[in-house]
Amino acid sequence: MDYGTTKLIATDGLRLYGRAENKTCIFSFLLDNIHSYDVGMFLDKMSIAVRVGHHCTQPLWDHYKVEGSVRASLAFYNTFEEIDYFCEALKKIQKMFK
Amino acid sequence: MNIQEAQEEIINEFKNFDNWMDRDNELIKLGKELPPIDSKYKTEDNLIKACQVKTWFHSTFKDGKVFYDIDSSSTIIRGIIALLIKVLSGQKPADIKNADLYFIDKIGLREDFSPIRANSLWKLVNKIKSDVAKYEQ
Repeated sequence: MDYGTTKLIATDGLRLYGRAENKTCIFSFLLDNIHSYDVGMFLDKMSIAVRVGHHCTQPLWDHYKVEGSVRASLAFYNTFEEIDYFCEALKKIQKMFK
Repeated sequence: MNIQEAQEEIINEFKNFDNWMDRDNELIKLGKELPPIDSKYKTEDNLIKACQVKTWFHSTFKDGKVFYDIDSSSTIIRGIIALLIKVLSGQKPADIKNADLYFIDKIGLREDFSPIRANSLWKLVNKIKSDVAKYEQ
């Protein structure tokens, strides 16, 4: 999780939601002003599975005044290389929307 | 331009894209170029129900033809809206209702979309088609 957090917060234009010390290994974020469904669609095309939207927590997103987020959940089988690939994919998506 | 001619023009344009990234880059470009609708149309009532992405729909009827103000918070959906407006805005109600929107399959939108995205697309198409009933005499 530390590796993923470091990589993600270093990505320009990425807003990471949830930085609690003891949180589980999930990364909820928005990329520039790109809709979470658009980011999710392109990650899917690059073989990366994420969840997008409200995640059944609409009041929380109302609080943040956004429509939802992209959420990547990592588990024991994910590798550092996969996190690198994920961050590269996000940069490609940003480039498409520039 | 009638509905068929507009569809053929889109199909010809999209023929040049031989991979999903080029095709989707074009959708993004169209989405960015689509003028935003007047904020007075961005109401709860104008939101298309059960669409995962916020999409507002408003139509007007003038000289026997239907014109659309449609907007979405997703750039990709805005790109699709731009295509649907090109094909259907300014057409007669009966023509819109009976239109076979074959360009959607021809440019690979249906096969390339996830079920949720495809659902948004069909909600939008159904809304456009069902809406014309109020203008039919």
